[in-house]
Amino acid sequence: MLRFIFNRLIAMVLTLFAVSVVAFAIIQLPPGDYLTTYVATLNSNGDRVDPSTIEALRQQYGFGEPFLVQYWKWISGILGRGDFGQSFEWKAPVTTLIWGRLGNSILIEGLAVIAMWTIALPIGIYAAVRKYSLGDYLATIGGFIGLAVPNFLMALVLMYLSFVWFGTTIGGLFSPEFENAHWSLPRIWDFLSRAWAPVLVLATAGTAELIRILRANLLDELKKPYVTTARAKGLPEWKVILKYPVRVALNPLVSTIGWLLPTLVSSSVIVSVVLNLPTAGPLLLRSLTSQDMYLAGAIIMLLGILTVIGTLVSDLLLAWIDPRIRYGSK
Amino acid sequence: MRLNHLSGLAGAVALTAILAAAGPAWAQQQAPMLDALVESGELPPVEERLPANPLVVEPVDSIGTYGGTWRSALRGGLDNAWIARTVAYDGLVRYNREWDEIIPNLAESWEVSEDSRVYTFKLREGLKWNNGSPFTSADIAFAVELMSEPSYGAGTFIKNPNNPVTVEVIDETTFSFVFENPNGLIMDDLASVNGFTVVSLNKEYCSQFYPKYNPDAEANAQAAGFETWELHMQDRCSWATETIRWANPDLPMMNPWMIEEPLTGDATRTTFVRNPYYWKVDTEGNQLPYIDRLTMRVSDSLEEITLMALNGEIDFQDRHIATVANQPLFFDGQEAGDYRLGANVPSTSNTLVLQFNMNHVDEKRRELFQNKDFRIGVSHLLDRQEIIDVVFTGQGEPFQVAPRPESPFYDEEFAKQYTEYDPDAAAAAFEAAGLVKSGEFYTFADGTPLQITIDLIASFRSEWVDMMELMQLQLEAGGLDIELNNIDRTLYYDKRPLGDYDAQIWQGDGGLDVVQEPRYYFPANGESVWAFRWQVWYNGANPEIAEEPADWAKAQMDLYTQLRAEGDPDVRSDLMKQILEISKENFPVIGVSLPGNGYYIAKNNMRNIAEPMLHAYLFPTPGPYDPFQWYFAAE
Amino acid sequence: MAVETISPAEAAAPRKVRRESQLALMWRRFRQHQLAVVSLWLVIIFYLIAALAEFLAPTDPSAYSARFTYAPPQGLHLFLQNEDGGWSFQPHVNGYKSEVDPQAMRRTFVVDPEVVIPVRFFAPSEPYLLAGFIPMSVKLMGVEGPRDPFYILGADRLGRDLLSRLIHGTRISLSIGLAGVTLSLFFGIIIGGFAGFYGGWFDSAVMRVVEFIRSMPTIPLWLGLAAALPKDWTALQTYFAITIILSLIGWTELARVVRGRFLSLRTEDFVTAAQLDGASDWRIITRHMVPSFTSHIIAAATLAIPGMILAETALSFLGLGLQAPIVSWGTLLQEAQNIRTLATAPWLLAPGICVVVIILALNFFGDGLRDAADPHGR
Repeated sequence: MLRFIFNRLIAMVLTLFAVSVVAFAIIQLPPGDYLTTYVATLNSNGDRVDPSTIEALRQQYGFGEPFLVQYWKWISGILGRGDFGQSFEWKAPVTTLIWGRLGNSILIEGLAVIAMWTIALPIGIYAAVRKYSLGDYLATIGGFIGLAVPNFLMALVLMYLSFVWFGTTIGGLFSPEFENAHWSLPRIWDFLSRAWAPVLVLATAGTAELIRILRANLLDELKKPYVTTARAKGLPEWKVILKYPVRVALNPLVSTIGWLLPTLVSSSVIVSVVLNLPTAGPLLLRSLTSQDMYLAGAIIMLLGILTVIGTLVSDLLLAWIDPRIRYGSK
Repeated sequence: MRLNHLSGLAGAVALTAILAAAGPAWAQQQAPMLDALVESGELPPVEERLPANPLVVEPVDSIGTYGGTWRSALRGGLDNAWIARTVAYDGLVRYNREWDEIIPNLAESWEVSEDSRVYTFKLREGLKWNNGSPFTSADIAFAVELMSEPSYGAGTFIKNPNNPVTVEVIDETTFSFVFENPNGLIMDDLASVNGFTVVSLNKEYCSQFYPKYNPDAEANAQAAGFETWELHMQDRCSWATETIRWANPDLPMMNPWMIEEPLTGDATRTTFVRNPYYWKVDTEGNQLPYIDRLTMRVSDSLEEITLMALNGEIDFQDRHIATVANQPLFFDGQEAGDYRLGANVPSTSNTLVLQFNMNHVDEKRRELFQNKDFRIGVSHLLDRQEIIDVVFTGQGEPFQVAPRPESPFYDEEFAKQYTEYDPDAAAAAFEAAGLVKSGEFYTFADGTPLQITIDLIASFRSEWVDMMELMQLQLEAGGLDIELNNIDRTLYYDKRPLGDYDAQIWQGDGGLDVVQEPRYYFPANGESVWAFRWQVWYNGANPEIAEEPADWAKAQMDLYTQLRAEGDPDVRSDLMKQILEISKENFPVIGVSLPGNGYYIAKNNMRNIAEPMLHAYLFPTPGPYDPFQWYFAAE
Repeated sequence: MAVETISPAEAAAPRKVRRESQLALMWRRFRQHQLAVVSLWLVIIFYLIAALAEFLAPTDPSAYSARFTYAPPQGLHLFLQNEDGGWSFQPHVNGYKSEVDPQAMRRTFVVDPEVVIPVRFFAPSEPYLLAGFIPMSVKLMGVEGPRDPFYILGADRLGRDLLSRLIHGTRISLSIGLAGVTLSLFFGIIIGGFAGFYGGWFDSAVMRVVEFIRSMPTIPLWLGLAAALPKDWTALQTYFAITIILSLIGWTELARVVRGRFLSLRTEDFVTAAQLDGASDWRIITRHMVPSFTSHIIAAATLAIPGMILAETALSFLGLGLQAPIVSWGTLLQEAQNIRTLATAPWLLAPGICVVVIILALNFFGDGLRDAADPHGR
């Protein structure tokens, strides 16, 4: 087991290195630099900026060094001092901008994972037990609708319907009076009365794949002799199914944590933009389009780290559950 | 601004006289929320907080009542312009509500030397920053000193290499700007958004980050995590209206409201609370502002802001949400949302300016695009009324890029020339321009095909794509082969110096701010895309691509140079008229339509909001309409 | 039969007898999954629409009209009530009563049942090229008068026919999915195949790369790549670039499937037998191994298309994918993505319904295929 963990850790470090290079390369790819986009944005809003200011800023930021030099400065700052550099646009250290938002991302995505399982479990079990029945079809269609509706559309429609039906705007995570308040029961309630929308959108987007895996695994299990034995012994049907096959079928699902995270992070970018959630998503989008490169790089890097750690955890869990993986694959 | 300064001075003198005479009848009032603070001794009484002669503001309709919170929204955390427009419009001087006169503000009067080189200002006696420290000439001198640092990234007139400025401090409340050369436009500059810069820094607080005043500044900057003292200064003492300025609640300000919850990077809202030292009163001596607080929700979602407005969760706003597309929505929602729509008169002269590149690197194209007949032909091919009907539901009228009807420079002939849809006239004009038609499309005289690529940025104005798609069909029906190129904004700018674009489009700035923003009337600045290399020649920025302009453009440049140095507003206006006359004659760019009125959204109980409002950037609406005298009527 | 059409490799291969029986077996199993069968038909219909876009679309997708901005759907009526009260077959649409409200800045429309505009099937039209090379001058549907409104699904903000735009958008969106998957398949089979067949260090290296790409959140990858596209590219170039970007991520899943199959087949008896016979690696892969899991690959590829279609809409939403004036479901949805549309012109969300239907159909079709292809049977 130790050897397995050690190998996985080495692989993780390598992956992280690759993530950092790719993250930095991505933010370097687009033509132009932050200042050109800055001027363009001002102009588009009918605002302007003095050309001499721009010239002075250009000197101050020192654009135009070679890629490797910039990369080295960046990565050594991160590793050496935990310094992710300055955000041009916010004129502030990147670290002051991202932690709170990353926390919100993790919170929303965590809730989404829970919701996803809650939706997928019953549908998956039902679809396997009643294979090719009308109920199977309906449940599966229901489970897949979330995947099929583009996230941004679903988020917008939810926001609009909540305005029309309940007379509330559900953007953001809190209503104004609770925005900066301390945690309390009413605040939690306020949070939940808004957070349900993004959680629902994110959760339904991922349920389809869970249902699919669960159904397939369960179908395999249900054919096994021990199920027949249990039935023959006169166990109630629900017990026959829930007691062993479902539990066994759930095992491989641990590995889904690995790919769940990147999917969730991606879809949360879009949902957050529509619903104005203070997560890392909108900040990433904005920094990429405005070429605020150190900020964008830091967010991509951190999201990458999150997913890599997620994968590691799921691998370890899996190895712990199923010894074959520990020894088999090496 | 000779006239203005005289009237300003006279007004101030008269006011002092009234003050002295009125005495006790003028007892000053303050907002109830400050009473407790004064009683507990945390704040001095209101008479001591106000300057000797506070600026007396005539309310738009009525004397207001104190209290309430003005709710609005920022689009993302970097939307500093909305704060500038609502909170920050306080320079040395300001524009009146009609935008035709410059009136006193922090400065109660000013004088201009005969040669327009020395401008002497007299500040109000006893002005205080929101922390109670006095606002004096030294603060102005400090700001100019700091921003003259070559390594410090702030600009405006202070850093103009062609006309450097120094400050002479005469006493606590009197100082002069001394320019190397005559400067005729500085008063306008100071009254516009660009005027905040010189009054935005408190010397006492900000000098601690400046190595000149604090030898440890550099070390402190490093300790605080900044690479240089300049970055540290920018973080703590940013100038004018920069976003980061609103992230530091310790930074003293002179605005009606001061920072309560700062606009930090992860803020989901920012709030402002009344400045107890604000130096303006209404005509009954009540200290302004009336409204206690501002809260601005930070939202990346336009749709959320739109829904908030519909739901009555926004008290006043026009920025971002008051679009042509949303108008029916907001119109229908007035009753449910308990708000009203008021008119905004845009300062732009045109919904779309089609600029052919007269400095094209390709010889043939340059010659064609410089040919006035060609541009006349294109203009006649546009069925402007159809575009207005389709895209703007009939709002607006066919218009060239010329001063708006509200402007003193308005010239109907200039605005309307070549705007009628007339394919025959167009065909004649193309023939005169030396184009020949073979088959479906025109070609150059030698038969080389002529395909014209028009660059646009769809993400800026959704109407542009719609308009251009219509224009493309119209121009193609008239025999011009048009290709639309929807490009990224950075490329839009990168292309300009290269000179290989056929045409670009933008909106018609300079419809009301004719003198300040003459980019379409002559090659004035980098936004004069139709003659980029000519303006380089004029401004001398990067001489390697400069091209000598045509004679008519050179004549305009000479006139504008004179204008910039001229102190007399009447002479300036004459010079501008001459420039416009040449522009009319040479017809450099093609316009489509005069923008219809925009609108703002205001809750029904919000009072003293002027209607209609002029809407511009330099005149940062609604700032000049004095939001500090808006108030919430009791239900 | 449908399975044959989509796997020509199988049809062309020798050893006919065995193959057909396997196909028949698969088809029987596939038919059990009724949802998959329905989905198969839906998919075929959608791709037919994409192929025949010019013929099916009543008007030019860019033809605008000032008089009919935001005109609501007319619907298509097949029967007309005569004066004597009887019904006769007469396909028609109804005209509009409209007026401009200058204060609210909009046109209001009421469908006017009095005005009957007959609809002709196989109506003559301006000549055009179907699919770019078949000259035609007849359209499926049309109205007589060129100025008569014909908006079965309503009009957009410029008075353009939504139905026509939807049909043309179908072509772009579906073909992007197909092209992206083809490209992914190409990379996936080659890379995954080699990794699975040879194993060893190449296999581990490939799997590391796959793992790495899958651990990157896709949105920043797309954003970065899409933002880096040369901005002066034409619409067509952008289209292909977007396809490549989508498949850069898409190939990993397919590579994994292919590799897995190779790994499990490598030790099967028939492969060993072929090796003992002295067949070359190339021959073993192409003649023996690939045919035995074609159906799996097709299932995996089918399941990858929905992701591509959704990605296209997401990229357009973020302002980075295809942009107007290109007509795709993504750009149509982007234009409809605002409160104004939801509140006053909900019919413009029709592209969203198309997306939902095709995504569901492709998913269920793919699932059905996969179930059917499983050699162990379920």
